[in-house]
Amino acid sequence: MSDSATIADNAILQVRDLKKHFPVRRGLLQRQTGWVKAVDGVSFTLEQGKILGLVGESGCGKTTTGRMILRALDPTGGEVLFRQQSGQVVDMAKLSRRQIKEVRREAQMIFQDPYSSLNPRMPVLDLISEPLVAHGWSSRDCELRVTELMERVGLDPRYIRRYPHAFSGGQRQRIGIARALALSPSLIVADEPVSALDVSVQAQILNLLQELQQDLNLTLLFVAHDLSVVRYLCDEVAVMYQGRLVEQAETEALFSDPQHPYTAMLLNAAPAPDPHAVWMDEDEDVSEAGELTEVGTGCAFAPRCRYSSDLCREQIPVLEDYKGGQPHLAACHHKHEVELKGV
Amino acid sequence: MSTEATDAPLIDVENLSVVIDRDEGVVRPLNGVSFRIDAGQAVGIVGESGCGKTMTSNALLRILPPGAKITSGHIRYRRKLDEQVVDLATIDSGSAEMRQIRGGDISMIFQEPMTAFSPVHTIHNQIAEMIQLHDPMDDQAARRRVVELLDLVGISGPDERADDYAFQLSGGMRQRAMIAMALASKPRLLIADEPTTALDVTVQARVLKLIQRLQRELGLALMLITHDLGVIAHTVEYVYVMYLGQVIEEGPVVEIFDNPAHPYTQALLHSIPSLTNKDKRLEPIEGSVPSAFALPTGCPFHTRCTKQVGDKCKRQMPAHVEVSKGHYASCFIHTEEGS
Repeated sequence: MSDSATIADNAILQVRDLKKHFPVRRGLLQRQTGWVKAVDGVSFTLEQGKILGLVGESGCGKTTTGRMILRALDPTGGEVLFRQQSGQVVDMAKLSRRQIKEVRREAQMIFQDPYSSLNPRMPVLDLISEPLVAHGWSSRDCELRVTELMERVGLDPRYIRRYPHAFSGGQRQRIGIARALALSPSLIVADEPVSALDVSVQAQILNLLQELQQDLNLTLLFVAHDLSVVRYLCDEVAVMYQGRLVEQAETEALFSDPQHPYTAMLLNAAPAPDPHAVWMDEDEDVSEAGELTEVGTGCAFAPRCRYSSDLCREQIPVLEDYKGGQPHLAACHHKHEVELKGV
Repeated sequence: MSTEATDAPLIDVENLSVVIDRDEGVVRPLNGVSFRIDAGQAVGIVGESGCGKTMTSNALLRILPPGAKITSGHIRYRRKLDEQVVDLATIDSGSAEMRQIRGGDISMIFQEPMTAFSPVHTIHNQIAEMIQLHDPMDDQAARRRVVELLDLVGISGPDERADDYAFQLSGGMRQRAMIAMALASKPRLLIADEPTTALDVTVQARVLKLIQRLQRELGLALMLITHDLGVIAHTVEYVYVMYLGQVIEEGPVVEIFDNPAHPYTQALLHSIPSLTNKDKRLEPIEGSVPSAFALPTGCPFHTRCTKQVGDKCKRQMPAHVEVSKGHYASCFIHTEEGS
């Protein structure tokens, strides 16, 4: 499984031209009539020890991307180059099932819903130690490790034999995090880890993730739809629209100086918890998404974009940097001409 | 304004309590809730899960879950029919009178529009049924009204869309269709329970703008129930903050955000990340909302409060006092005994 794959020295993950196409079947015979390109050529690099936010609206392919990186889904095409703790770089997209299991101890996932992602018939000890058992730990070692993990994520180890129903939503999410940390991974994909939680509890989990990231030097891919959460936690943000990245930049730059009309639309539509803040500026247009079907040629956002031209409908814009300095990538034909408002 | 202030409110809820008898024990989701909504006013009710915000709206409509009953309090409502004030807390929930008010005077939109529509009837059939139930008219007139309503809520091609089934519409369109259905009976009060929580941010923005526009144009009173402080900040005039079945703070929206008076409201505002400022460190509220089976004594928030003034927080419920004009809070830091 070692070969010529190389990635930048400071990178832990490099995704190249990742694709997932689902067949569309119609009619009595379920004949295939086309493809839904859920993810269609996503590329990005994640630096060791950073948090990258992947944002977008439902159906944009952000969850599919996260799942493909960990091979919970098999990609249709592309590469997922991952640097293991040994220093070796492997292409996760091409590994066999057996090889995946080995690599996966270093790359874990945290799920959205702490209610449905934990087996109600398993006590905390079994839930958290399941990945350990799968990798051959003895039951004595498991118990020690679980105790340590529970303390690390802010759970009282006395509750080690309790079942999930005895815990609140925030505590369950802590169990999910402890489980992901069990095998000391270096990369974690967190799929909307706080969106099912109450506001006051959400802050506890965000702070915990931040602490863990710093203390354990974790690298995080944080999949989310809530822009204020992303702004708080992430070093860098990538915005996805209908299967492609439309903008990627350092967090502050993306929020204050968006380069893609879609990013600006999202920022304008998000209601800030402040009655004095501008929300839905009348000058900015906010339109709803159409359905994700086979996008023809051109920019997928063009039908919703007030700046779109014939060029946009004919040719897909490339995600590229054009400002110099800190990389700020955007995929828009008119990014040089339009003035967009940030927050 | 002064003439309105002397008018009786549209709905005046006083000291409302609800108890649910369960096998596991007795739950008290509402413990003396009081609030009022004037005609045409947009009011927000905000709180986390378990605070009783949804139970409050269910009590108003008398659609409480099995085993739940109103144990005390009044819901004085001025009805459309004859401007009489009736007490919805004591009226028989199955009576013709209540059925007329439920849906006819007060209608509701829910979080999940897919479950609010029948999957086997067209949008037209469902809205027309609602219209004819409250306002007898022939099928053609009802059809015209359905199309008019769908047009009002911004559904393009309303004549064709009317014959669609709920599953054929996108999330945003379905939410619009539900708003159209809620408006079919020309209600005076629209209760919106987390109306945009299931929607994407751009769709949410447009649906909220629509609700706001309709509320103003039709002179509707709006009771918006949500956990989202961002939504509250931009859509209502007056806010009630609930915690464990009680209103712990209330006031004009700007006051609540600029000068929160209750430690819970203050903590809640410190625990949400800002869209505009990355550096603000989040200060979470420790612990979680206590179980409704074992309510704390005294102030319901004392178990998580960092600003307790002494033992009495654990023993006694503080009075709901005015802290500035039209702005009230229930905390000993604002009462005589507390200072």
